Amino acid sequence: MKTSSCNNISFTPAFLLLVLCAASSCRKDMPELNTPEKYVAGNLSEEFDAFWNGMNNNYMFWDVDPTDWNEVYRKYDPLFSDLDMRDSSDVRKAYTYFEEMTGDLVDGHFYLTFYNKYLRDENGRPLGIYPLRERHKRDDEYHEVNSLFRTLYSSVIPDNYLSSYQGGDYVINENGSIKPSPNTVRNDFLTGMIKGTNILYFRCHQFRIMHVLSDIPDSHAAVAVKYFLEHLSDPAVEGIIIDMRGNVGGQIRDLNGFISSLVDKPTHFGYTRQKIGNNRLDYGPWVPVSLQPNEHSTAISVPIVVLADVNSISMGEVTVMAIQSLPNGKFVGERTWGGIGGAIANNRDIANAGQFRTSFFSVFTPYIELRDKSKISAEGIGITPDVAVGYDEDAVADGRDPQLEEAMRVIQ
Amino acid sequence: MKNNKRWPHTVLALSLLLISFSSKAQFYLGIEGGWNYNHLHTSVGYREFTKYENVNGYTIGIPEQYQVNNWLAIRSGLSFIQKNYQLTRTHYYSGVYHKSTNNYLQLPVAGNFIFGTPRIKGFVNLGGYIGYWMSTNNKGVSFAPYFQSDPSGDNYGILPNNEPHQYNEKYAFDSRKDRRVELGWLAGGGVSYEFAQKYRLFIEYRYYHAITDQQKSYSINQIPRYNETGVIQVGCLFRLGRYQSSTESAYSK
Repeated sequence: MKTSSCNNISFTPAFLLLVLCAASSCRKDMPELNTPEKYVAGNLSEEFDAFWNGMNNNYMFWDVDPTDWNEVYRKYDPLFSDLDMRDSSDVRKAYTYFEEMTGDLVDGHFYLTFYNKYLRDENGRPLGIYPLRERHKRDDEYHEVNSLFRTLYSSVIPDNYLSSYQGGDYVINENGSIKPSPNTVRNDFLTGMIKGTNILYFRCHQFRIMHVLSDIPDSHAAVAVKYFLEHLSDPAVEGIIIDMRGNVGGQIRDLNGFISSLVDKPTHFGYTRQKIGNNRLDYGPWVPVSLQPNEHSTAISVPIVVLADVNSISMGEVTVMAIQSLPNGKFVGERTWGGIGGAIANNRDIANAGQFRTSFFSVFTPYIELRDKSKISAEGIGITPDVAVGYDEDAVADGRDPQLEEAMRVIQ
Repeated sequence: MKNNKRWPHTVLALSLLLISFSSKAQFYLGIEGGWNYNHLHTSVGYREFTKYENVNGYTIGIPEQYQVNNWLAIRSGLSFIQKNYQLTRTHYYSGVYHKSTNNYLQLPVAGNFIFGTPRIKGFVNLGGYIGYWMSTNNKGVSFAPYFQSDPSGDNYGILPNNEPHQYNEKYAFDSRKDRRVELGWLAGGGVSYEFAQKYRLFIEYRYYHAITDQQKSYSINQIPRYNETGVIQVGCLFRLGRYQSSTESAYSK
C-alpha cells in the first residue's frame, strides 16, 4: 500500500506537469513583422508582403472598412508569387492587382504611388492609385476642379458678388517654404463683403493661413486674411460665409489659428483616436476635439454658413464639421469628399500608424481618425449638407454662383 | 454576447458542484487574498519607442479543498483576480501611456501535493484554470494632434507640442476581437499551518499561464496576447465535516 502511495506521489505530479507542458504548446507563435521600409527590393512577392502587412498594421480604418483584408491575402499572395519584377508585363499586372485590392478602401486620403520604371504615365510621372477618386468619378454628380470651376474665384465671385475684395496667391516651393505669387490670378485667398449686404465672405483654396501670415505677412494673400479677421468683430456684419469648395486641406494649425476665431469659448465638435497596437482593431480612446479661442476670437452670434462641395477634402471637411456643429452654423452645398480621416505625418512613430513605403511604392494614409460628435464615421462617405445645392456648370459659365446665392439666402 | 453572460453562472455552478461532491470527506472552505504581478506575453512588432510593462494587481477568493488522502488534495474555488498591463511610449514620446486594469473571475482546479508534519505542511499545486474577463478600465495619457500647444516646436517632446488628453474610462468590449474566456494552467507552492484540528493558515505563490489568446483570431499575422500572472497570497481554510487524523486517513483504504 505504502509502495503504491509512493509511486502515486512521484507519478501523478510528473504526469500532470507533462500534460500542462503539452497544453502550453497550444499558444500561437508571434508573427514575424518587418518594417516595410526594410524590405529588400527586387521581388514582387516581397513587395506584396510589405504592402499587405504595412496596411494590416498601419491603416486606421479597419473598424469601418468593408474590404476583407484576409481574403485579399489569400487571393493575391499566390498571384504575386508568380510575377517577375524584371518582366514589364508582370509589373503592369501587379499594378492591376493593387488596383483591385484597394478599390473599396474607405480612406479618403489613401494614395498609392509606384516608383518602378514600368509604371509611368505618358509624362513620365509615377503612376498612382487613388481609390476614392475613382469611385467618385463613377458618380454621375461628380464634377472635377477644372478651369471653369476656378473662374468662380478668379472672376465670377470677385466681379459679380463682392463689393470690394482682397485676394492673393502664393506658391509653395519644393522645400516647403512659401512665397507670394507675382500675379493675383487664382485668388487662393479671397475675402470681401457681399454686394448690397453686410455678409462677410472668405475663401481659401488650401489651409496655409498661418504659414502665409507668418512668412509672407505683407503679401496680398496675407492682407486678405487680415481683412477677414479684422471684420469679424464688425458689429455691422450680418452673416459670414466660409467657402470651402475645392479646398484641398492643409495644415492642422489653421484650425486653432484661424477657424477658432469664430468662437469665443472652447467648442467641442468631434473626436479623434489613434492606434495603440499592431493589430487591426487596436484602437486607443476617443479624444475630444474642440475649437479653442485664439487672439482673434470674438463672440459671433450672426449666422455662419460654410460652403463646400464634393472636392472639399481633409481640413476643408474638418472646417465643415466644426462650423456645422456651431449653434449658428449651417452647411450649404454638396456632400463632401469623404477624406475627413485625420492628420498625415511624415513620421509614422508619432502614433504608430500612417504612411509607409518601400522602394517600389509609397502609401499615403492618415495616422489618426476624426469623427463628429456622434462618433459616426463619414470616411469615404462625406459630410451631408444641411441645405443641398448642386454645382451648376451652366450657371458658372454665365457668371452666376447658385450655391453662393443659396448661402446668402440662408443668412438673410 | 448572450453566451458570455452565462459564463459567470456556469463557473458558480461548477463551484457548488465541487462542494456537493465533498460532503462526506475532509473538505475545507476558506478565504484567500493577495498581490499579483501580470506580464502580458506579446510583441510590439516594429513599433519604435513603445513597450509593454508589467503591472501589479490584487486577488481575492473563496478557496475550496477536498482532501483525498494524506498527500493529495483537490484545490479549487472562485477568485477575483486582476491581470493588468501598461503600454508605455518612451524617449520623445514620453508621457504617453495606456494602463489597462483587467478584472477576471477565475476558477482554478489543481492537484495539491502535500508533504510535512501534521501541523506544518508544504504543498505543490499543479492544475488548470478557466477565467472570465469581466471588465476593464483604461487609464492613460494620449494627445490631440489638432491642438498644438507649442506651434513653435521649441520644446522637446510629443506632449509639449500637442495638447495632452488624460483619460480614465471603462472599456467597451468589442465582440469582434475580445475573447472573454481564458484557459490556462497553473503551478505553485506554499506552506500551511494547521491548528485546532480545523484551521489551516497558508501562504503560497501561484503562477497562472494562459494558453488562450486575449483576442479572437480575426486577422492573418495577428499578434497574440497571453496573460502570465504571478500571485502571492495568504489565506485560511476551515474544515467542514468529520475530522480525520493523518494516520487514520493513510490506512482508511
